[in-house]
Parts: sequence; structure tokens; C-alpha cells
Amino acid sequence: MTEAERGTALEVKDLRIAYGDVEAVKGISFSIEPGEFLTLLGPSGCGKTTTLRCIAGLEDPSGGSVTLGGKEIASQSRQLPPDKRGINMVFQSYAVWPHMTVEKNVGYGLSKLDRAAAAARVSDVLAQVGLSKFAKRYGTELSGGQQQRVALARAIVTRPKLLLFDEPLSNLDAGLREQMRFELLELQRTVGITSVYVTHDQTEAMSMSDRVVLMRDGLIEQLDSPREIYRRPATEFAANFLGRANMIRARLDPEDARRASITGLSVTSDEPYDGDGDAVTAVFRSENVQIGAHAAALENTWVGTVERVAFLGRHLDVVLRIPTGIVRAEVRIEAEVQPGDTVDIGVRSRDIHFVPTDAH
Amino acid sequence: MTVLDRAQALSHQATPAAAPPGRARWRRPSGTATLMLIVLLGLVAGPVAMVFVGALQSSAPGLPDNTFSLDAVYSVYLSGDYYASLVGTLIMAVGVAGISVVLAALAAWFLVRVDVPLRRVWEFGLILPLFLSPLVGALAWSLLGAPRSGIINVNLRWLLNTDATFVNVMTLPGAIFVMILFFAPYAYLLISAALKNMDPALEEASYMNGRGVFSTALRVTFPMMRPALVAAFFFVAVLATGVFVIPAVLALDSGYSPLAVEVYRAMTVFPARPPVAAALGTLLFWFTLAGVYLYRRSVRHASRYITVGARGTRPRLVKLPVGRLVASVVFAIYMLLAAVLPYLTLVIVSLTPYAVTDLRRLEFTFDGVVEIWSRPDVATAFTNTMWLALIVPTLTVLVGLGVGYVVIRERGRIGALIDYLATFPIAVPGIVFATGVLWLYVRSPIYATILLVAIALIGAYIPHAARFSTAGLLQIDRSLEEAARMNGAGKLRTIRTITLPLLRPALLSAWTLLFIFTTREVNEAVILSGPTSRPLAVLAWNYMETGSVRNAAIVGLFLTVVMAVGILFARVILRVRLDSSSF
Repeated sequence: MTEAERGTALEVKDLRIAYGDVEAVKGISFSIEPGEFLTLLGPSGCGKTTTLRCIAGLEDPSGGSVTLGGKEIASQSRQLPPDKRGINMVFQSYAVWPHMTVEKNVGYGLSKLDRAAAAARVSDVLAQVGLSKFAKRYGTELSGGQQQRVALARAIVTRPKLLLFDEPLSNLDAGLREQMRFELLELQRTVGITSVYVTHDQTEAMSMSDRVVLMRDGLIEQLDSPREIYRRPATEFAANFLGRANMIRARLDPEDARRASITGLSVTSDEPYDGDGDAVTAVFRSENVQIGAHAAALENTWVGTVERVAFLGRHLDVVLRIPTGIVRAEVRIEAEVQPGDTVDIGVRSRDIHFVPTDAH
Repeated sequence: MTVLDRAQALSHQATPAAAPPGRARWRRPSGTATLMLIVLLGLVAGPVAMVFVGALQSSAPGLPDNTFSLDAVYSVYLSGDYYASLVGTLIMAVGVAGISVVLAALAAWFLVRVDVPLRRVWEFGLILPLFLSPLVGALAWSLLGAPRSGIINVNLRWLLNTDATFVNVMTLPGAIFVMILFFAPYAYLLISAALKNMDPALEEASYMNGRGVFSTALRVTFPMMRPALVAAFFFVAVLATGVFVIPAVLALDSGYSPLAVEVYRAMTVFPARPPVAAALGTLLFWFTLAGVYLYRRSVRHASRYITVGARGTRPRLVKLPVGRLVASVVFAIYMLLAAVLPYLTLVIVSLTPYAVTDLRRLEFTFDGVVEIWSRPDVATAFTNTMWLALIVPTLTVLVGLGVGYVVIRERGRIGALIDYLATFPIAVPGIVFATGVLWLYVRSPIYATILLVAIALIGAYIPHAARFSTAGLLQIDRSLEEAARMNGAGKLRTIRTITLPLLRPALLSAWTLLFIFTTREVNEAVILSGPTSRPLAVLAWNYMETGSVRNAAIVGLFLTVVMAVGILFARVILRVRLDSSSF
């Protein structure tokens, strides 16, 4: 029991999944530490759900392998049936069985326990998710958030080695989604089950995960902690998918990998560029862009024109035009900027990060 | 049935919205709703009421010496003469429905969930009997499985050199067997549709909770399909109660006759006792009504079963290395029994000079076919069938469209009443319904014309047409029509330019199914048609009844050709999809 509670390591090696001629997942590898919360993030059609379903045993791989706790559970030649893997899953549609009560739903996977032990475990878990009052109700008599908790309770009650989440919050409305996000994370931390979470929502990915696997077109774009992906995206795609990024495409200085320039404009970073080629994109976040008098004192300074100013409550969203294109800045609401003003724009070199320029 | 299900679902939805009581909610019914109500009162309520009136008469309504009398009611309900027949009918109906549902549920599970090879072939084979006439099937099986002269017995005797009797379908179990062959497809359609629409995540969640394939099927899949299973059970039970051709052809020798056969005899065999037929009809009516009530009760919580799936993830096919082969063999045997053997028999018997069943002594000739084809009554019957097959599906689809429109788009109390009336004919066995139509129009000029047959068939088929159009309309988002209205189109233009084009596939499927039903129909037409208004199927029955088995087989073959041409037309020209997804 204690081993299961600490969770089990999962290793996905060179996994490929094909539907007929179409390859949805084109060879991906990652591994998860016991108790870790890993998120598969990406736009729709990137192969994240397919990967999750393959770990669950609901899709068959066409290449590569999945190993759980040192035991291979899926490869092209041999697939352990989903019911024999000791994995449980929370589905996007909740999949709460409408012909059973909440209690029956949650206790469904405990057939190997004797009745008293199973009932005790069910009531424990229902208390944990705050559904004790609803034990005798039928699944579909509950609200979306409550059904979500039933699905969660049903997934943790079997004490699985691995817990999978398939976009579990995407059917909830915004307020409830935020609340459930915290509850879900807290529960995962208390039970400590190794978890794989699929989402296309960057806020969910960043706020919940230990590490994020960013996927695109069936391949892994970047695998790191949310903070690292945000701070040091590997590609333009990664920079754009997590948070909003300003980009300046430039050519790297042949003498100094910390500098890049383009007609009438140069960019400096603290960290040298270590990628291939000399076509680089300088990435920086809008909260690190400063405008006005003190901007001129920073390492990078450019002159631009204010195109648009939008009031967003906590800050102003300012759209600026510089020779290479658009730069967006988040500035304090006290700042006095009007469309048409010519202003100084500044970014610290420690806030600049170079990525290779996207070919397409 | 979907219509019943949906009625249930609608009434559930209506409850929370019901605000101020009394007159406040009453809207003036629209012109369409009023028109549909009048049409349904005439086509459905009128004939049913006439059956009850007829049961309380001394002879057929419309005759001059007719008076009020309780004799027929006494004879049917109290004298005990019909108790054995009643019990037998119930056993037969429940038996046929029970076995059909079990087989259909297994077939649906294997075809939808298991990686059975040649699934498309087997599915086609499973719904093939829908396109065949039960009368022709019963006729063919009587030729195949009769104890003395049946093809199977005669040929096995010389092959195995014994004089044993191997099969005998001229019995009650034999009749039940043939009914199952012909009614299981209906159960299959209802059950497989439910299975295909189920959110695969419900089963996947069970796998994730450590249950295997069979445990999941028993605990999640089949319980989830309960409304569909119950619907299929009652649908088949009502069909089996109302059909008289199969037991009439096969079980005449066994001394027992089902109520539907008794109704037919009381109407047609001298001395005819129409009030007794009507009283028997009311007796049948109570039982089918009880069936519909039980059905509605058991799916009372059907709305609980409506689950909204996420994106369309395809369900994982279960791998059963041995099971898939066993299932294939069983499907092949079913196809052999329900379609291949009967039609082979029909062709053989039609092409031999006299009904020889010994396969060693076959001489083929087209003389019989040519002779029957040139008979004037066959020509008349052929024309009648063609007229019916054009008029009945077309008008029924139009009425069904009106019903669907009022029920889905206008709702209200009148909508609920129309929904109920349009579902009603399902609960009335065809032969009873036909009796009511007969008496309703007995003094009118259309008596004994094919128009009368058409009116009865339209009334009886309204539930099917309504089911297609309501299901189709439910799938068309209301905002598509509202957008047309906002763009300045009137109600009629919206229906013509938006609703109808989007409904086209559903309406064409309905038309094709009703074409098949009309062409093969015997249950109602046999009561209603005279010598000049007789369609092919009734002519085949009449030959059968007078013992000309070969003539009946030849007419049955003509009938099959008409149906095949119609189905080909639907498939190739109208591009109607003829698989389980369209029914």
C-alpha cells in the first residue's frame, strides 16, 4: 500500500501510435519520477490525448514501449489489457455510470476487497472529495463539478500506481475550474500518486505540474518545469504557447553569441545562444518591457511609437511599433501614454532569451 | 422506441419549466398542429374507436339488422372459449421477444464491440430479413421443414438412408423459430443504435477500474442499454402478437391458434362473426396497451441514461481470438437460415412443374412462372402493389414530418397529444387496426378499394415515419432555422429551404423502409382488400390458403423482385444508406 501511495515510476520510450496511415504520435520519450505530476500540454491534434490513452491501454502503440514500475506494459508486440495495468483515469466526460449511485460508482473497482473494507474505503474517499452527503444519489443527478469529484474519487479509491487525467476540467465553467484545479492538486499531493495530466490550457499546466511535456504534431517540443519553459523556451512555438511572448527576429553577431542585430536595432542577452545557425529570435515577456524615461538606462533600448493602449485593471496593455514589428508591454496604470506618442522602450539583458528562428 | 423514449424525455424536461398553472400556459395551437390533430384523429383514433364500437354490436357495423349486443364480449371475455388461445399468444409473444432480444443484444455486442471478421457482411445479413416478406419466409420454411414432404426431411432421408423426421416447423416452436428469424433484426437495430451512441469512456472507466471485458459488458454495457433492451422486447412482443401469417402458415396443424389468427378467422371464415373479431381485437389491445405501459414504466428514468459524450473517441474493439470465429460461424448460420435457404427454396419450387421436394428429381421449367405472370388477377395485383408502394410511403412520410415538426419545434399540450396519438398504432396489432378502418369506412364509396388499404397502412405506419422525422429534427440545431428567420425567410420558406434539405436523408430512409413494409404487407390488406384491390402479398396468401403452394411461391418471387428493384432504386438513385445507422 505504502509503495503504491508513493507512486511508481513510468517510462515512455520512443512511443509511436498510428491510425492506419496517419501517425498521431511520432516517437516520443519521457519518464516520470514516483509521485511526480507531469502534464502533457499542446494544441488540439498534437497527440497528447492519444499518448495518455496508450499509457492507459486504450490505444495500442505501433512502436516503442511503455514501462510502469520496471514492468513493460505496452509495446508493439504485447499489450497488457487496461484492466490489468493498475492504472486509473479521470475522463473528460467524467464517464460517471448513470445506472449506479455515487457509492456504487466509486466502489466499482474494489471488487477484490471484502464488502466492509470496500465500504470503509469508499466512505473515506467520498469524505475526502466532500461528497459523503451524495453517496446514495445517482451520478447524473449531480452537477458538473460534483460529477467531476465522483470521477476523481473513483479514480483514487483503487490506489492506482498511476493516475491519468484526460482534460478533466475542460467541461467546467471558469470559476469552478479554478477551484477544482486547487482541490485536485491538493488531493494529488496528499495521496501522492504519480500523475499524468493532459490539457491544452497553459494556466492549468503551469499552476499544477512539476514538469510539462509540451507537444506539437506528435513530437515533444520541450520537456521541463513550467518555470523553465516560461523563462527559457526552446522554440518560438514553446515561447508562444506558454504565456505571451514578444519576438525580434535577428542575426547573431559572429563574434559574440550574446548579441544579435537587424537593420538599425540590436539585442543583447546575458546568456549566449547555444543553438545551430545564426538566424535567432530574441524572446522576451511583455511584463519585462519598460517604457518611458527610465527605460533608456537598461541594456536594450529602442525607440517606438505607441499604437494602442488598453486598460486591463491591474495594468495597461500597450502595443508599440518598432522597426521590426510589434512589441507589447504591460505597464503600471499610472504611466501616461497616449496612442501616437514616441517613447523609449527598454528590456534588461537578463530578460532576453534567444531561440532559433522558426523556418516556416 | 425512440418516439416513446423521447416523449418520456420531453415530459421530464417540461416539468421544471412548467410555471403558472391553468390557462396562462395555453397557447393557441398553430395551423399545422390543428391540421395534424385532425389527420391523426381520422387515421388513428377513429379506427381504434370503431373496434370498440364493433365489439358491442350483434353483427358487422353498417349492416341494416345491427343492434347493440354483449354476446361477442361475453363469448370472448367470459365464456372461456378463447382462454387457451390467449395464454398461447402471450407465451408465444414473450418467448419470441425474449429470445430475439437476447440474440440481438449478443449480436450487437459482437458486431459493435468485438473484432469479428467480415463485420459489414454479417451486419448486412442481420438486417436482410427486414427486406424480406415474413409471409414468403414462412411459406419457404413450410416447404423446407414440413415433417413429411419438407425439403430438409426428404433429402436427409435418402442421404442417410433412414425414414426419420429431422425437423418439423409446422408446430408452435417452429412458428416461434421463424418469427425469431424475422423479428430479431428489429431488436438488433434498436439495441445496436444504443450501443453505438454510448460514450466509450463509460466502458473505458470500467477497464481502468480493473474489470475485464465480460465483467464490463455485464456491469456497465448491458445495464446502460436497458432502455433499448426493454424497448426492443416490447416492440418485438407487439409485432409477434399482431402477426398472423407466420402462425397461420406454420402452426395450423398444431391445433393451437394465436389470437391474431382467431381474429382473421372470425372476420373471413364462414360464418363470419365480425363482433367476435372486434372483441378479440379489444382483448389484444388491452395486452399490447399493458405492454406499452410496462415499457414506459421501466424506462421512466430514461433521462438518467442520456449521457453526453466528449469528442468522438472510437471505442476500442475487444479482441476475442476464439469468440470472434465462433460469432462469425453463428452469423453465417443465421444468414443461411433467414435468407439463403428460404430464397433458394422459393426459386426451386417456382421453377419445378409440381412442388417436388426431392432434390434428385428436379426438372426446371419456366412454364409455371410464365403461366402465373399472364393471369389477369396477377396483373391487377401487381398494379395494386405498385400504387400502394408509391402512395403509402410518400403520404406517411409527409404526415410523419408534420408530426415531428409539431412535436419537436412547437411542443405545447397539443404537441404532446399528437405525439401520443402518433405512437399509438404501435400498440394496435395490424389486423385489429384494419378491422377498425373497415368499419369506419364501410358505407363510404372507397369501401373495398385500394384507397381504403392505403388509408389503413398510412395510419399503421405513422409511428415509423414520425420516429424518423423526430430523430432527424432533434439533430438539426434550432438556430439553423432561426438564422433563416432572422434573414427574412417566412416559416414555410424556412422549412422548404433549410429544414427539408437537412432532413432529406432521414426522410428518404423512412420512405425506403415504408416502401418495404407496404410491399410485403399482408396483416391489414387481407381484411381490407376485395378481389380487384388485392396486392401481390395478399394474392400469395390467398393461393397459400387454397393449397396452391407453387403459385404462392411464384407470386412470392414476383413480390421479392418488386422489393429488390425498389431497394436498388433507393440505394443507387436516391443514395439511401441501407445499414443499421439509417433505421
